[in-house]
Amino acid sequence: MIWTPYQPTPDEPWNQARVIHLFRRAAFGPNRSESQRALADGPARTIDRLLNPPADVAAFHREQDACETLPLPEWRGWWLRRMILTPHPLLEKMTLFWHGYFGVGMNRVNHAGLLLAHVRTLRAHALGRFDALLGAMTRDPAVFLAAGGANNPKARPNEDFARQLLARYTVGEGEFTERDVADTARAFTGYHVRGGKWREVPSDHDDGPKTIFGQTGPWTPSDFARLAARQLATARRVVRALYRHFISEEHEPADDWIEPLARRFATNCDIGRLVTTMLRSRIFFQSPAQRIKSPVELAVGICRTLEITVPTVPLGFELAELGQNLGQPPTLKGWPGGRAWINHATILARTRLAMRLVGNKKFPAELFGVSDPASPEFQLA
Amino acid sequence: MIRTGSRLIVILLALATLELCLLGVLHLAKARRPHAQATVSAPARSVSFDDWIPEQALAVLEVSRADKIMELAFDPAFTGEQSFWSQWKPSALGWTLFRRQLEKEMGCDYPTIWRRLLQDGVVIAAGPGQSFVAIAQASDAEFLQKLNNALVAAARKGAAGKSGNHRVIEATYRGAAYWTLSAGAAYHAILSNRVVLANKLDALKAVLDCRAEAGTGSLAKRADYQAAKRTAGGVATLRLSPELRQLQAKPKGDTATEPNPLAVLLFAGYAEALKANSGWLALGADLQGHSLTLRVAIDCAQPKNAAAFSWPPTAGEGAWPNVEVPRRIAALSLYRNLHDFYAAKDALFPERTSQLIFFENMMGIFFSGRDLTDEVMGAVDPHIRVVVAGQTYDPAVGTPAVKVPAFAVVFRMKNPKQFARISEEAWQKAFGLVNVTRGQKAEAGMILDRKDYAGLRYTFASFSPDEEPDRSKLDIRFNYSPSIAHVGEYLVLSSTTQLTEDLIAALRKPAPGPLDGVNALLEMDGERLAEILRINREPIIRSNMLQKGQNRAAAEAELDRNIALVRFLGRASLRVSASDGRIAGELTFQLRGPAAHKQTVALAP
Repeated sequence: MIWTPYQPTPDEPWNQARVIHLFRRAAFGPNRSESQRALADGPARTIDRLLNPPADVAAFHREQDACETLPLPEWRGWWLRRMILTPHPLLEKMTLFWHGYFGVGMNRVNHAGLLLAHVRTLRAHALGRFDALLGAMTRDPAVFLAAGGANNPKARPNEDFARQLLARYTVGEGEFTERDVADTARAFTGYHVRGGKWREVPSDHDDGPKTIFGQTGPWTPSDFARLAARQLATARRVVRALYRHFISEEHEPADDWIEPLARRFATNCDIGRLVTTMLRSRIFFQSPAQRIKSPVELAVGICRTLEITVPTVPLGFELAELGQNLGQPPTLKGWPGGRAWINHATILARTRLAMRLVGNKKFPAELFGVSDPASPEFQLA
Repeated sequence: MIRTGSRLIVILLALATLELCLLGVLHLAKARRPHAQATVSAPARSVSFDDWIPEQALAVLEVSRADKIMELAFDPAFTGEQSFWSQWKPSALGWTLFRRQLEKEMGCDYPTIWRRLLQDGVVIAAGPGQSFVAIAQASDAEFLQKLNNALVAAARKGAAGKSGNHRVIEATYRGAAYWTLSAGAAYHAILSNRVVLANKLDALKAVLDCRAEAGTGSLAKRADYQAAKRTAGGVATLRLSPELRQLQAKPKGDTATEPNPLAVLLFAGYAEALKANSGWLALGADLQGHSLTLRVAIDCAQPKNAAAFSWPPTAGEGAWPNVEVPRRIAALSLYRNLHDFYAAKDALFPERTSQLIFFENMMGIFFSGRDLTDEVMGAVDPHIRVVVAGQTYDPAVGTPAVKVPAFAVVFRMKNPKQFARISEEAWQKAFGLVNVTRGQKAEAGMILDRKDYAGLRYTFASFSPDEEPDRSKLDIRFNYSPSIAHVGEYLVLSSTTQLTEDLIAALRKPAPGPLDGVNALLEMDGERLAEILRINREPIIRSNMLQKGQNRAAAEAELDRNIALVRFLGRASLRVSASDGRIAGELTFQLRGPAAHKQTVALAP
C-alpha cells in the first residue's frame, strides 16, 4: 500500500533529515527546539502535534485578527507575520494552499476588506471539512467577484460563473456537462454581490428543479457545494493538489495512488484526515527534494528556523517580485508553482533574500563549514 | 574591561561628547539652578584647535563649553530614571564595570574624570576615508598623564596571554608618543594637556604633522573655514566643508528621479541658496533660558532664477504670522508666489511626468479650462498658511479607530468676489468626482451640504455613519469632512468642518503684518504632537511591528521614546529668512524640563 504509515527502521531511521523534511513541508521549517523535540517524540507524536498544537491557537488568532489592517500591503504583512509567529504553522500552510487553490486575488476582487475576510474563511476551514469550506466559498463575495459572479439574475443565469465553479473549484475540466453548467447557474440566481456585500434576492432566484451531477432538486448555492464536495472528481483534484503541495511536484502520481484517498475524501470530506494520511505515509518521507519552495515558504521558513521576525511589509513586496504576491494570485488557477518559481532573475533574488534574512553576506552553506554541494550537509545547510 | 583600551576611549569620547553636549544643552532649559543659565551664556574660552586639524577635514564639531555642559549633564536630576534621557542610557554590565575601574584608578568619580578631561573644550573632525579625530584639552597635563598611565597599564594587564589582536603598542612620531591599546583599532597621543584620538594611524599622524609644523596644512590656514567660524557660534558648532557637500550632492545617474513639484515648491529656494554658497556651512547651537537655538547662516544672494518665487522681492515683505486656532499642533506660513512658481515650471521640472500631466488635466476640468498660471495660481497672493490641529469627534457620528489631525490651507485671494465663485465650483466638481470614483468601487460616498457658522455660509462634504456597525471604531475616513469657506479675502480649504469654523473665527481678527524677509515659519507644539501619538498608540505600535519587524514590547518602547522626545522638545519653531544678502535658518526649541513631562495637554479645548 502506497499510503502505509512510515515506521522508523534501521534503514529508514527517524533522524534530523526526516524531521527537517517534515517541518519544511508541513510547517515552513523547524526551529532548534522543535527539531530536538520532534527527534525525541518520533514521527507519530510529532505529526499529531503539528495537527493539534498544544498552544492556545485560538487566542493567537484572536490577537492577530485584531491587529490585521488594510490596505493590501499591510494585510499582506500581517499574514506573513502570522505565518512566522504562529504556533500552528500547518494551519497557515493549508491556508496558503487554499489561497492558491481558489485563486481569489485583489486584481479581480478590488476590495481589500473582502479579501481579508476570504482568507479568514479559508483559515477557519483549512483543516476542517471540505464541504463546509466549499459551502463558505459559495457565500463569499470575494469568490463571486473573482469568478465573475457578481450578477446572477434569474432572467439570464450567469453560466460563465457556473463554469468557473465547476472547472476551477470542484470537479474540473472534462468532468461536467453543459446541463451541469446551466443548472448550476440557475442554482445561483438571485445571489448577487452589491456594494461589497453578498445579497440574496429571493424573488430573483430560480426555485425550479435543477439537475446537477445527475441529481435533481430545487438546488441552491449551498446544495451545489454539498453535491460538488462529494463528487469523486472533486476529491481527486483536491488530493492531487495536496500531493503536489506536500509530497512532490516532480512526480505525477498514478491514478491508483490517488484513488483510495479520493474515495475516502469524497465520503468524509475531512481535510485534516487527508493531510494526516499524507504526512504519515512512507511515500512522504521518501520524497525529499521534489518540491521547489514558493517564495513565501522560503522566506517564512528561514524566519521560523532562525526564530527571527523581520519587517513583513517590505518582505511582502520582495516576495511579490519573486512571483508570489499574497492576495494577488496571477489567475483563478493560483500560482503554477514548481519550476515556474525559478528563472535567471528569481534564482539570484531568492539567494539574495535568503542571505539577507540569514543576516550574513556569506553563502549560507559556508556558514556551516560545508563546501561540497553534493554532500547531505550542504543540502541541510 | 580596560583592555578595550584606546578604541573604547575614542568611541566613548566621540559619543560622550555628542551626548553630553545634547544632555547639557537640553538640561539647561530646566534652569533648576539660577546660575546655570548665566554660566553657559558666558563668553566661550578662546581655545582653538584649528592649527591641529588637517585641512582635509570634511566636518568639524567644536564644543567650546564642554566643561559647563558636562557639569549639567551629570546632574542626577537630569539623568535620573524619571527623565526622558534615561531611556537611552547605556545599561550594560561592562559599561558599569569600566566606570568603576576607572574611578578606582583615578581616585575620583566618573563625572570628575570627564570634567577634567574635557575641561577646556573638545573638537571632533571627520576626514576622507571615514577617518575621525577627536582632540580634547584637559585641565592639566599631570591628570592626563595619570589617566593615560592607568589605561595603558590596565590594557597591558588585560592583553597578557591574549592573541596578537590585543597587543598594546607604544611608538613615537615626530617626537610625540602615541599608543594603540587594541592592535590598531584606534590610536591616541598625549601632548601636554591635550589628548588626540583617532580611528586610523594616518589620521593621528596628520594631526601630529600639523602640530609639528606649526599649523601648516591645517584648518587655521583655510580662509574659508575661518570665515565660516564667524557666521555661527554657540556652545557647539558643526561646520561642513564644501567638499563634503559636493560629495553629498553627487548626481545619482540613472537612479535620479524627477523632482516632486510639491517638494520643489517648498524647497527649491533653499536648494538654490545652498548651491550658490560654495564655502563652509556652519550650524551653531546656543542656549537662552529654556530656548535651544540652532542656527545656520549662508552667505549668498537670494536666488534670481526660477527659484526666486519663494523669496520676498522687496524689503518689508514676507510670510505672515501663523494662524492661531484651538488645539493647534503645527502651523506653517510660507511666502510662495504660486504664479511665478507655475510660470517657471518648465525650468523647475523639465520632464513632464505623468503626475504633472494628470494634475494639469484635473485642474483643467475643475477650473473649466481657465489658464492655470494666470487665472488660477495667479489669483492668490504669495501668503500661504497651513494649519494642523487636533480634532474632537461628534458623539452623534462616532470616533474613528485611527485619529488623524485636521489640516487646512489658507490662501489670500487677489479678487475675492471673482475667485470665490471659481474656487467653490472647482471644489464641488472635485468632490463630486471623488464620489463618482468611490461609487465605482462600491465605496460609500460623501454628502455635499452647506452650513452657516457665525453668519458665514460654507460648503462641506461628509460621510454618513448610519450604516456603521461600531461607532466607537469608525473607519479612518470619518476623520474627514472636507470644507471650503471664503472668509473675506481668505480662501480656506480644510479637512474638517471643525477646523473650518475655528479658522473663520481666527481669520476675522485683524490681519497681521508680514514678517520682514521671512520665507517660511514653521511652528510646532511637541506636547500636542505627543498627544496625537498617544491617542493613536495602538495603530502606531501595530504599524511599527509590521514595518520594522519588532515585537510588541520593542514597538511600545520605541513609541514611548518618541513621545518622551517630542514632549521634551516642547514648542519648536523654524524660521527661514533673508536679509542683506544672507539667508539664515533658525530652529528654536522651547524645552520642557522633566517636571513638565508629567503634565499632559488635551487636544480638546
